Amino acid sequence: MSYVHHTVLLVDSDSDQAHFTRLALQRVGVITPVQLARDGEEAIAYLSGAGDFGDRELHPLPMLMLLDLKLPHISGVGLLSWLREQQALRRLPVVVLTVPVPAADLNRAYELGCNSFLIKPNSFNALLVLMQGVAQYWLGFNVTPGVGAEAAEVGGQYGPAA
Amino acid sequence: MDMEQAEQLYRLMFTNMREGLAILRLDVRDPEAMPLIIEMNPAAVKLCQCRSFNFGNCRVTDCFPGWLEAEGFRETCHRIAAFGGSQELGEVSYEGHFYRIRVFALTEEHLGFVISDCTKYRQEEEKIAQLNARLEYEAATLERRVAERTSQLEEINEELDTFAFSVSHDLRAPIRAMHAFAEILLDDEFQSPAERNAYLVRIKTAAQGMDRLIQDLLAYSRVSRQEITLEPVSLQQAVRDASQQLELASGGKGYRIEVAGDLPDVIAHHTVLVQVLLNLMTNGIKFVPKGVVPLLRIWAEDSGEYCRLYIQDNGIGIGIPPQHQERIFKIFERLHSIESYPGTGVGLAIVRKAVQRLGGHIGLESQEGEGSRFWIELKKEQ
Repeated sequence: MSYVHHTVLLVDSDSDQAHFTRLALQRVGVITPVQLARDGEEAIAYLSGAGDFGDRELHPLPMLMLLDLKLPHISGVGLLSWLREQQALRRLPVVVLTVPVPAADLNRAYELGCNSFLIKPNSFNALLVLMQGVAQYWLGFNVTPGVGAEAAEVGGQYGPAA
Repeated sequence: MDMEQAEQLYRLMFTNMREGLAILRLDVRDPEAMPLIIEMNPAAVKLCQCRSFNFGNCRVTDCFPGWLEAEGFRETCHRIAAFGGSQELGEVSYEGHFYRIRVFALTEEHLGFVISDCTKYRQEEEKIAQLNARLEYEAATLERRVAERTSQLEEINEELDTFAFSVSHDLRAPIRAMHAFAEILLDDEFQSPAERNAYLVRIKTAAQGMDRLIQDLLAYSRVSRQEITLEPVSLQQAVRDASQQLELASGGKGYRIEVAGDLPDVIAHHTVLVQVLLNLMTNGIKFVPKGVVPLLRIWAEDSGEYCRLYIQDNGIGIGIPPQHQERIFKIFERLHSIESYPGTGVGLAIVRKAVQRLGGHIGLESQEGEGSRFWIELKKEQ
């Protein structure tokens, strides 16, 4: 199965880990380029379309955000709480993909409305399996809410995305 | 034993007692009558202050003026004479001694009056009270020290927990990267030789990063445990030595240092202090936007019994609110991604630990885009 119009925004400050996640998503059929933000500020800039990110052809609004909690400066949890306060973005499904964190951070992430919480596996093959599941469920089965301009429209696009 | 001998023995007993004894007579028909002393032993005579010895007319309150409250004593005596029993009349202090007085019934109109010297008991009681007070004080001190120690231990435990958690995370990150790159390489159908090469380079970089991290962790552990003797140290000399080492370590990178005025002597440990300064100065010339020549300004200010040394840079500043600035001294806290400014995240934790070991404090004033101003506070040489 391939996913053609499914922009995923990956927020990860570890370039190696980001590389693995992108590679894994690509291998499980996510053809749309995975967008990368290297820290919380960049993610906020991307989502709000600031500066170069204003070009929504090149940098489309994502239908899923993969979020590492361990970020410099603005933490993953901080980014999540910002996101849930944005009128146009607050419904965006967020899957936390992180290294093991203390239980308090995990619970906080759920309280702030993350939609799923995954731990980065050690091996690339395990990551492939995980990303297969993520792509199939979140980009395939899951019915996406309206995000961005659609968020203002009543209903927006309804039904499973192709 | 005939009566005469018994009489003699009783009299001897009465005469030789160390307690002051007196026999009182009371006119029980007159409730206003004061008891009168009709007999006293030598011990009582020694204490008697009227010195008249006209037994039969001498009132107790005249013999022992100020020892007894007259009205109360009269009433007590009448009561005891009527109903029997005895009564303690309290304690008086007289010429450096303490006496306890007791009165008890003999016949319907006679009373016994006993004065016993309790100075020794009093002294012992006082000593016991002192010892008790001291014991209580020591117990309180001990309790406070236990509480202090407990909170210190709790803090250390918490620090150890964070430490273990962070170490496991930061050390595992490069391992995870090496593992994954190796897996991708083994499964080689997708890669070009250039890609394979790039992956091998990244494995090497990860291994190097891990090595640097282990070195830093060892340095952190060393600074926590090392024996440090605190002594007067010239801050001027320490800054000079640190500047020289910085020049060697910076590898020809251009920067400027301005040291303002004469720096005082402080209580510290020269080698450790130089290390602290070097780490802060290295930081100061690191976080500078591309194209800007790093400038370090160093000066000292007086702050009570401490001396505060400032190291100000012209870097990017970290722009986090003051209440969160404490965070950057924690182990593995990074404010920037590893790509933009390299480092292991242990450097400032080492510096803080070292300053603590020197008996000082460390802090930071920083505004985003306006550079950072680190300060360390050390005890002044008196």
